[in-house]
Parts: sequence; C-alpha cells; structure tokens
Amino acid sequence: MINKDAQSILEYFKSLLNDLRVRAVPPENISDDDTFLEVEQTIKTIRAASAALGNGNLSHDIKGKGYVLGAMKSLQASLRNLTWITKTIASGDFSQRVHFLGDFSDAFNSMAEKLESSIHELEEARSHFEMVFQTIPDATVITKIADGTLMAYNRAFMEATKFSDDDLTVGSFNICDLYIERSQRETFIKKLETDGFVENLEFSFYGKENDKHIGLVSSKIIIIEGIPHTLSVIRDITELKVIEAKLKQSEERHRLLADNAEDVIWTMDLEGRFSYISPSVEKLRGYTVEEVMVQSQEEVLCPESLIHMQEGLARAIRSVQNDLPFQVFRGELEQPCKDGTTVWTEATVSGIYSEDGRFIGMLGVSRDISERKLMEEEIRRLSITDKLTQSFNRLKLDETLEQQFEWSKTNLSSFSIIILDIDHFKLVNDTYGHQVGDRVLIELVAVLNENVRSLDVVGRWGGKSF
Amino acid sequence: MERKYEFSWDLLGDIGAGRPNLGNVTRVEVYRLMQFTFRDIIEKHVGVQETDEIFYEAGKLAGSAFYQHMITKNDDLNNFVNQLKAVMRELGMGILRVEQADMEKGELTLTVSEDLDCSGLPEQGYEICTYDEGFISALLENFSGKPFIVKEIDCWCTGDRTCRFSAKAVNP
Ligand SMILES: [Zn+2]
Repeated sequence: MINKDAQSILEYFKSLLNDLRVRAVPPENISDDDTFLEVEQTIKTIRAASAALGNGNLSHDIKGKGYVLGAMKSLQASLRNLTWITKTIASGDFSQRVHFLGDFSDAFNSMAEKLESSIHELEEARSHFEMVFQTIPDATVITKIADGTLMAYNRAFMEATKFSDDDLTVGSFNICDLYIERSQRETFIKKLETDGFVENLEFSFYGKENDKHIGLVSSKIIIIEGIPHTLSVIRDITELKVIEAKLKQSEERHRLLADNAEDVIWTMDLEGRFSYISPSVEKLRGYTVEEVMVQSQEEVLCPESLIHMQEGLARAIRSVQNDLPFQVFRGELEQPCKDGTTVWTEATVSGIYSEDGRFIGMLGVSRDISERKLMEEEIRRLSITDKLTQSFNRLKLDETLEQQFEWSKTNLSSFSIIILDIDHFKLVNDTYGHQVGDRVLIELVAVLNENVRSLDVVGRWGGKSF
Repeated sequence: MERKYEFSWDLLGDIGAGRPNLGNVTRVEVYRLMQFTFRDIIEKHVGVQETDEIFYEAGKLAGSAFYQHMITKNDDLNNFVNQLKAVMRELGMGILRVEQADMEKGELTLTVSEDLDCSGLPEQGYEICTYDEGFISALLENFSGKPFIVKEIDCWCTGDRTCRFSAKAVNP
C-alpha cells in the first residue's frame, strides 16, 4: 500500500515513459524537490534522445549524465562513427573497418571488402576496355546515337583523320560534321536501330584538312548511363580503294593485250595450275581456254618437252629457294593439238613477284614456231641433198661414213660401202645432150633407192660417182 | 634550468631484454595507481588547475613522442586515423572512433572507448582525461602541422560510457 502522492508521482513517470502526449501532472507539493526534478529531467532527456535516435537524427545534443544517458551517448557515438566510416568508404577509401560492434562489425566489414573487390573488378574491366579501345588498330569512336556527339575516340581515329586532342573536345565535337553525305548517316542509324548492329557499311567522311576518306564502319549499340551510344570501328579503306582502282585499270590493260596477242600468254601458280591463259591458245592447239585450264601437264606437253620443261623449271625454282631471282626459262616445246597433231612452240617463262617481293607464280609466253621449224627442217634437208638427183649429197655421205666408222669401232662390227661409177657417161652427154644425161642420173638414183633397205643410205659422191 | 629528467623515447628502455619472463605487459591498475598518486601529490603542491595543466602538457609531450615513434608520416587523414586506431588497439590504450572530421575547418570529434585512464572509474561529476586531451592535441598537431585545443566533453567519470573529445584547430 502506498500513499496517494506516491501513486500520483508513479502515474506521472509512467505517462512520461509510455505516452506520446503526457497527460498526467506531478503533485504540486513535490514539484520543487531536487531529486524529483533530476529524475524528471533525465526521463525527459531520454524521451527526446531516444526519439531523435529512433528518427535517425544523430546531431541531437544529449545533455545530462548517468548510466542510461551515457549508454545512449555511446550508441549515438557509434552511429556517428559509422556515418563517418561510410562516408569515407563512399569517397573511395576502403581501408576503414568497424570493430567491437558485435555481429554488425563482421557484416559491415565483409560488405566493405565486397564493395572494394567489386569496385576493383569494375576498375580493372574499365581499364582493360580502355586499353583495348586505345590499341585497336582501326579508328574507333563512341558517339551518342541521338545527335552524334563524340564521347570517346582512340589514337587510330586521330591518325586517320589528323585531328588532335584539342580539336576533338569530348562532349561537343559532332561526328555528323565529318559525313560527306548526311544521308549515309541516316542509313547507318536506321540500320543500327533495326538490327542492333552494322557491319562493314561503306561511307565517306572528311578528315581535318577536308581530305576525303572512304571507310567501312562496323558498329554496335551500347548503353552508357541509360543513353544509347554507338561503339564504331572504322576501317579506312581510302588507299585500298585507290590501289584497287589502279590494279583494276592495269589488269584490264594487260588483259586487253594478252587477250589480243598472237602468242599464248599464261600464268601459273606455285602448284603448277594455270591461273590465266590467253584465248590465242585455241588457234594454236585447237583447245579452248576452258579445256586447257583443266589439262594436266602431260596433256599440255609432249613427253620429251615435258621433261625438258620440268628440268628448266626445277632449276628456276631452286634458285628462288636460294633467294636468287627466278631464272628465266626459254625452250622449244612440242605440244599436242586437239586434232592429234603436234605444234612446236618456243616458251619464255619468268617469275611473278608480289609487291613485297615474294615469288608467287610464273608468267609464260608461248609462240608458235612450227613454220620456223619447217624452214629449219627444209634448210637442213637442202644442205644434205643433191639438187639434181634429190639423193643425199657428199656432205651427208661424209657424215654417214663418219658415223658408221664410229659405230663399227665401238661395236666391233663391219659395214660395207659400194662406190659405183657410170661408164661411158660422157658418150650419153655428147650424143643426147646434158638434159638426157641428167635424166639418166635421176633414173639411176631411183633404181638404187628401190633396191636398198630402209637403213641404207644412197648419195651422190660427185659427178657420175655414187 | 639544469635538467635531470628531460624526456626521451630511449628512457623507456629495452623492455624485451629487461623483462625476459614478464614481457611487455602490465596491469592497468599499476598504470592508474601511478597516475592517480601523482595527481594527488602534485595537486597538494600546486593546486587543481595547475595539476590539470601539468597533465595536459605531459600528455602533449607523450603524444608528440608517440607520433614520432609509432606513426608513419602521411598527409591523408584516413590513413592517419587507421594507423592510430590500430596502434591504440594494439597497445591497449583504447578503442578510437571518429564521429566527424573536417580538417579544412579544423574540427574533429573523437571517442575513445575502454579508455586506459578512466573507463570503469566511479562517477566524479567532472572529466578527468586531461592527459588524453594533451595526448590527442599533440597527435593532431604533428599530423596537420597546426596546433589543436582538445577538450573532453563526455567522460566515464561524468557517468558516460565513452570518452568523447572535441578538437579544434587554434588557427583553422
Ligand atoms: Zn575520460
């Protein structure tokens, strides 16, 4: 049992501790008691401090002393320390750790570690991207899709366009200004928006000195801070285009020459396959270009010529392997024709080199020499033929005699010679005239030829001796 | 004045060699016994205010020597705080926490829990960590190159659970 005043004080303290709005009032006779005032003040401070802490207000000044208020100050100090540590971590210092706050310390510290390693990984990925971006050998830029604002560029882009860092202010330089034709930009964006990427789209653009370039752009959409950008790699093919045009022109010119030449012009790769044959081959051998293209070497050359050619080419290729220039091969070759005959050609074969000096194939010119061959044959025949009787002459007989001596010496066998002379031939000439005498000689050769073996040689030694 | 007791770090001696069995630890009572008996006698000789000043100054001398020998010079506040936190913990001096720090304004609020000087002391109604105040002011001065005035605003001896120090640069 307690008295009414004590009851009233307890009611007041209970209300102070429990109610949102304090309704009870302390009894009047105690309101100037020091102990009462001190307890009342402490409870009021606890009310205010716990409300402030509960609301996250850490700047509330907790006035007063004592165990409970001390503990609240300690809690406030811990929370303020955490705020400071968190701010420090946010500013990039991951070395801060929390100690002596129970489970919270471990949780907080592992969060800080995780954050640090994540930031580290991100940073690594970023610098890796930066490195790759800078070292791409082709011009590479990142631009805003909406308006073409340049956001990043690499060395290769500067080299290609000749712009300097001062010219290319990131965030204000506009890539659209470089397009020679605006419509190409529109096509590019349209394609990018439908497919999500663009591959090797040809477009023309200006460099710093208004020099015109042709580029192949490959591009992808990337989202940076929620805004769609393009990551574009541009391959400058301006020089390539010029070379290509020149090459085409010179190729056309050469082809024109080759196509209309009498001689057969051909090229062959290192595997021995034709890469080009001029149409004149058809006139030479009766085969079309298409037919010759698929012919084997045995079909292109007669056996002896094939050996001759292969020896020559082997020599030429050996010298290339020894870093010497290709030895030009020149030779007379017999080639089969479609109609079963053969044709003699003189081939000149030289090496083809690439621009960087590598041996990449052979260029041949084959000329029809059948007429020359015939003429040579004729000259040869004439040189060993007696004009009147068309039998062999003294030259051929001497040659034959020589050969036979050699042959019999090596084979230790004998051979026979018949030397005959026409008796009283002068009488024929004197009686019937020289024309008849000539006919006698021609007749005699015919008789002799009819009566010898194919191996035997009949010739006119001179005058009327055979 | 001729000096007999001029302080130098060397006076702390070679503890490893001197205490092969007992090692480099002693009990906190011993430390406090010495400090409070000193306080008692000095107070009798020179009075309360003078005693506090002597302890503040001694703290400063200690703080300076401590900084020179235990802290690696560095301009970064966070690094300094981390070093200090680690050394104080390792030496059992207390758990240091920063509540706020603004070096530009030259204002810091620090707390030291489980303080070597005062934690667990009976309530006295006044702050007693004057030695710590001097110690902290010297640390901050050595770190920043600016003199600091440090005041203990909450203390175990006033019924709090941690000691809270407010530091202000003299010329921010
Ligand atoms: Zn204290």
